[in-house]
Amino acid sequence: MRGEPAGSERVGAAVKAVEARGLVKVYQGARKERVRALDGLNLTIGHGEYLVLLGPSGCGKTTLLRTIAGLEQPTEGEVHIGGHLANGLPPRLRRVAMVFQSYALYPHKTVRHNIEFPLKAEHVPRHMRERKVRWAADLLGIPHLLGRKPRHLSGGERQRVALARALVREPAVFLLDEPLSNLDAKLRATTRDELRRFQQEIGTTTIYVTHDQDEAMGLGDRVAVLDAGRLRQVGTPRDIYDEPADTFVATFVGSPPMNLVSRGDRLVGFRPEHLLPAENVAYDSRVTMPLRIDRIEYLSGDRHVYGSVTRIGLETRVIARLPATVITPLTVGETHEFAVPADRLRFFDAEYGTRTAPVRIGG
Amino acid sequence: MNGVAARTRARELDRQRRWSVVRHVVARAAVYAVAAGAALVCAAPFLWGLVTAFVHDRGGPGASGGPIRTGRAPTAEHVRFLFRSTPFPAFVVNTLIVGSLVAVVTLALALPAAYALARLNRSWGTPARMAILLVYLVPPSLLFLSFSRIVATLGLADSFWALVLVYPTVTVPVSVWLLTGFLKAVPVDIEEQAMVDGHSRLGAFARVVAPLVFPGVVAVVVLAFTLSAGEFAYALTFVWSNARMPVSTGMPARLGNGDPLLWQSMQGGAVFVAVPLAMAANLFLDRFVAGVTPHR
Amino acid sequence: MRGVPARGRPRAGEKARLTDREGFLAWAFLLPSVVYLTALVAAPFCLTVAFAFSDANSAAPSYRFAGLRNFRAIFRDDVFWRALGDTLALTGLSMALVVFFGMILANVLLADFRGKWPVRLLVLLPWTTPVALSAISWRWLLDSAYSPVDPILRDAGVLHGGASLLGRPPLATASVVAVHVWRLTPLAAVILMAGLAAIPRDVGEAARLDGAGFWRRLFGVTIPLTLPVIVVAAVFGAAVTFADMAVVRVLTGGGPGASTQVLPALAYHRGVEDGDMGQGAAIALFLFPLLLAGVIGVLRAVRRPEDANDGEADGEEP
Repeated sequence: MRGEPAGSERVGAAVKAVEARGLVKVYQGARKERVRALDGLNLTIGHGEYLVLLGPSGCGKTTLLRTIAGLEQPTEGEVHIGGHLANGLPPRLRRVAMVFQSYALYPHKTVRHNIEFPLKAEHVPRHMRERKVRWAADLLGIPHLLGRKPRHLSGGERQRVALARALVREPAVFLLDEPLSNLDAKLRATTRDELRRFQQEIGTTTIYVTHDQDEAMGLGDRVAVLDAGRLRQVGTPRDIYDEPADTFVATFVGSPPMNLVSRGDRLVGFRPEHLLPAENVAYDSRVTMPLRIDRIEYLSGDRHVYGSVTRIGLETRVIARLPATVITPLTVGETHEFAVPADRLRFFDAEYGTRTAPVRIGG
Repeated sequence: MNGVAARTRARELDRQRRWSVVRHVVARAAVYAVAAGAALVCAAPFLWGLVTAFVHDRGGPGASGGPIRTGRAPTAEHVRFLFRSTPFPAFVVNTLIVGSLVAVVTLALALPAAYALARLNRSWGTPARMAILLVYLVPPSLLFLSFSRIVATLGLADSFWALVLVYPTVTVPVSVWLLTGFLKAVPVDIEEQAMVDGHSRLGAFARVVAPLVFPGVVAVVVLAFTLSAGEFAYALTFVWSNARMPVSTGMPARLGNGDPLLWQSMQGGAVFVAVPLAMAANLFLDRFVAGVTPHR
Repeated sequence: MRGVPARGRPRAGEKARLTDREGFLAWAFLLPSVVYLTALVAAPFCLTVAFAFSDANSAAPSYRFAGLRNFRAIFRDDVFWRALGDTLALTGLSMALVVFFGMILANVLLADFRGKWPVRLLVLLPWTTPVALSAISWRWLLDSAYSPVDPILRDAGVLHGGASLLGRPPLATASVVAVHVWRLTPLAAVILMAGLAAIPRDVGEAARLDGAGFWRRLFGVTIPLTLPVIVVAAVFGAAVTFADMAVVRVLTGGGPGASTQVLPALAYHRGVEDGDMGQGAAIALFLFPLLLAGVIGVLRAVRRPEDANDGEADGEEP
């Protein structure tokens, strides 16, 4: 782990919107063993920031979200919201709004009453409630749905209703738990775009949980990568992709993932799109390696070349992604000289997987 | 050569197709036969009772042949007798009062308990659920002797309040079991959403969870009503005055030993009680099934 | 940085109320039921045990320890042994038939057919009707001047002379069993319907595609998967039959000649009608070991799927 998150200075404001300090959450597992869903986690989120929690399923990202919401009590550590200690406060007093993966619309209430529900809980007077419901419905483009029951709505419409309901409370923080995972692929892309624009419009701090790296990279001001209850890296999507803090981040983010070649006590990493036939890489600062080609896939214009490389380290299976502009003829079975620009190589400790200083590789 | 094989194969397939049609028809016929047979057997005594309740008294036992052969028009005499000259209306009223009170008490006890067992995860949740379920299996006959002493001590002897006190021992365990199933079917998300939306745990339960399990609540009311109307041992032990008896003991004890006229009237009474209860239960049969099914 | 609404921070001034605390709510919600059931089931049960070892009777309600005298008295009593045997035979036979017919009925009630609603209504009648009333109706049907069954049996030569159907020991016992089966089959069918409905649809369809016929599916898939529910249905039914005294009391009154006497009715007879509470309690107590066996059966049947569920839930835990 690389100490403090790289992007934290970007946030700037004195009081953070949300702060997690040394969070530990231990669950009692099925067979009496104890599962550490959160394992000493520190995270700071600035006002108005869009932070995405990214990680494989079971990494603790949902637990973190629920702990911030107050649905779980941390075993150790503190949650601060708007500079106040939130530990021990029930969810209703935390001024957070949450959108569940299932949207959790109240099936027995109409859309209007769903959106109105949090306002009623706060005893907001009726005319105020009506104004706010209308405002939220307009913002999300659902005024025509107000009279319907949730079971008559499509997935996308349900999601909007859930967002509207979260919106009317004017919360300090939005918590979104995989809000796109119940939508089909096409709708997901457009909704992602809308979600982002919507947040920019209202400017509320948002924490967004997902296991989908496209969503994470596309939406987040910053992305926090979690694994096994620990924070692996926090940074801008660019940082996460180009400067992964360790081999977990390097291989979890990116599709296909970063190639890792074992070389002595180091791992040499390079992204598939940087591994190109040698004649396509500038001659002066490159590292070359022979690649024996096993298989070639042709995917939306790109060629994905599967094979094994030698010379720069132990023989390792790697993937090269050749854009359509690379027209070098390649055939399965041949061995071709490939190269990576030297500044695109990343180095990791072979034992701990952490990032290390570059090593000179001849060639 | 191949053509012959293909034709044979086609003929074979045709045969199998016809055969499966026959099998299908037979299966459907069997379903209808069993359904009709079961309905007939289940309703037999009531149908017979209904018929005899409307035929004329044959004038004492000993005459041979069924009552239907008398060839006279149906009469409402027995039914009129039942409602005018017997304590039957009082029995029905008593049963209704006891059933309603038991349903209220059952719900007040069982709904919160079921919620605690279904949602508020405690380490003692599962054992507690088991223990409550097992209470249902403790037979009244094991307890009524002690109860008669307790009831006497409390000054409730010969009063239907004794039944209101005791019947929930039968209804609460089943209802807890049933409601736990219903409550588990309500998505946790919805409840947590209500908590994030500004309600306490109790508020979320009252405003979101309780309305969603309303069908379960009604099912429990029907169940509590049916069970308390059908109970026999306690009613027999605790209540012995005509005016305070429920139907289940009142009819056999006060009417069952009399003359055939009374017997005929009573058949009408049995149908009068049985059909509404069955109709209520039928409305909620699917809910019962849903409630008993283990939910994941 | 964008402005944040002033009210958008935790209202730290407000304290969490009691109604937010799960631990407190769990107790507050469960305690009334637990207290009630303890007071009105556990306590009377202990009282029954105490009575069984006393010479309490309704005439002199004082308690005096009598040791095993009540038990010695009932052990010497032929009627008791006959009642015990009858109770067991009655329960066992009834349950076998109830599960068998219940399974058929459950399958039919789950099938699609026209006129389902009236059929279900009629099928539910035996279960929902107060048992004493149905027993009256049965007695009317089987054994009265108006019985249509009586003349048929007489014509068939099964009955002759002055004795009626319920007046002859083997036929009386058969009638009692029949009424129990009639009464409990709908209940068993409803419980079994729940079990059958819970079988994942694709399991049955997979078996169908694998070429399994009806019987193979029944014995290879349906019965093994519903076994826990079958046990529950059987034990619930058994508990009801076993503890029932209404059918016997109304239908045969224990007769002819105590040939259909069952333990609960005997306990009532001795304890309440004869006023010998000690002996009544001692007889009632004999139900307990049998009840316990049933309880263990239910526990084992119900516990297994519960465990499977726990495992699943934990697997999903993030």
